[in-house]
Amino acid sequence: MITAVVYSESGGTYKTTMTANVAVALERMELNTLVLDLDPQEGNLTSLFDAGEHRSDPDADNLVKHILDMPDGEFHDLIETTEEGVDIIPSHDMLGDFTSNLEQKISYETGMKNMSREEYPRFELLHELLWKKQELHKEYDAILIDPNARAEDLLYNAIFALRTLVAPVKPAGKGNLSLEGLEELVGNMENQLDIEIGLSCVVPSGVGQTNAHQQYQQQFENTEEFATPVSIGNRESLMDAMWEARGSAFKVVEERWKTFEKDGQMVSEPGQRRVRDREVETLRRLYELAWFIATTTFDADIDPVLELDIQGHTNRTIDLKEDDKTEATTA
Amino acid sequence: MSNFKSGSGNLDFGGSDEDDGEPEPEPTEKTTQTDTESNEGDESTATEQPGEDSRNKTSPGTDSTTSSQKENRESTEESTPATTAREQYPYFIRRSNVGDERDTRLEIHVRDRVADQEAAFRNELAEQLNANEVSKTDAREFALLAAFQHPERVAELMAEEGFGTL
Ligand SMILES: Nc1ncnc2c1ncn2[C@@H]1O[C@H](COP(=O)(O)OP(=O)(O)OP(=O)(O)O)[C@@H](O)[C@H]1O
Ligand SMILES: [Mg+2]
Repeated sequence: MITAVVYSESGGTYKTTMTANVAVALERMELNTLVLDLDPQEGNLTSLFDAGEHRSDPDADNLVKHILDMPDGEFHDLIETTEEGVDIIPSHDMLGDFTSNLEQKISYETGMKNMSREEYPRFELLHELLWKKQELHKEYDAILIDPNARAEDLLYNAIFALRTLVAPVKPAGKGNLSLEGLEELVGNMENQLDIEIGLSCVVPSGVGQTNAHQQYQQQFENTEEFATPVSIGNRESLMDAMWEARGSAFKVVEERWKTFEKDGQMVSEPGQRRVRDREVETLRRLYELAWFIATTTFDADIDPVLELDIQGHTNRTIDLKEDDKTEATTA
Repeated sequence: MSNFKSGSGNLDFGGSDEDDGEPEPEPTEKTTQTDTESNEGDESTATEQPGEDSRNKTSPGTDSTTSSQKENRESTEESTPATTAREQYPYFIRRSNVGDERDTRLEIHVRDRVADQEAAFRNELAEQLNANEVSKTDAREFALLAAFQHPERVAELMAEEGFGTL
């Protein structure tokens, strides 16, 4: 069972993009994959995957109601399947009020059970729902969470439930290694909740060609404190097109989605994008990242062959195991 | 980065105390395992979750006193008398977490061909135990126990690979 929260302390580190791409890569490895979107804001995983039709309807059943044990329907009715096969439990506006709803529940239940507020396991509710009530480990091979960026109840519930982090980081400022905030959060959670949180890997993303960026990436790759299996370059055009294709970077390349100016307006259409080697290389790295998480972190058994069926082109097959061998022999 | 454990965290889907689901299956072969278990009991600590007391309403991120709290906790843990749960219930029944009671971390270095057999071994174990999966930690600990009980088999394997022939 693969479980990971894609998180790093700072905002805008391409978490949502990475969650989508890793989820699709895992699904392409024939792992049955579910993503949970805990971010109620615009530009979240739910809109990327074109899901969550009822996310703004206050009466609609949603994940929050199930986490708080006040469901308005079947849990499995929350799950939608995206075009690329990944399942998603979409976001809902109620996620934005999670803490106040939780406080109400705690007041009510601690009153009933004559228990102190401090004793209430407020960070353990998602864990209870996913594994104890729904037993999702029997149904899925991989579950990923795109949490909301704010360090509060929902994020702690996500980390408590999945226990393993994948941390995308972005070259920032003078390019120092800034995982300190994340480390503190993890340490505090471990001490208070008596759990062990694992860091699968750190993924430098949006790394450009400037010296500062390259140095930043080097610094990360040279540290032994955590794994950096791949870094992802600055791929704004490719990743931005995901929001038009409503899917992963794999889909963008295969269906050749492109945004361009037509009759004075910006439009996005499939069948237009040029096939660029560096973008194919990015897909290879995303696949390698998913492979690393699945096998090195979680011991899954996977044949890492990426088949790209690019519209109007012959199929490409990238076998990561062969890459491994050639690297080993040339090294 | 001392807080980060590289790799996966300690998530375990097995039943906890208050869980009404099936508990993780007990190992079927109970043979001589019991004496090791009672050895384990000698250095036992309380089964109450020490985290409970320090759990509070504020977010973990804002708490800056946790490292000293942790030290306190460890010292109280040592001085708390063991509850009887340890003696009454087998390990897989009383534990709620795969990390429970496992205070010693062993690191082993192995050849690829040995590592490559682990997945198959765990699948085979899961099958024998009628479980969905057996965690690496469980499989390894009990593999070690099995070896302790059958040193002659271990010696045989080593001899086969030329141990002591020089
Ligand atoms: N490797 C990349 N290089 C350049 N731009 C990227 C890359 N990956 C994603 N982007 C773009 O950056 C923007 C922000 O990405 P994303 O929404 O994934 O960040 P986020 O960490 O989820 O943000 P938030 O903290 O707001 O949730 C998007 O427009 C996306 O297309
Ligand atoms: Mg996001």
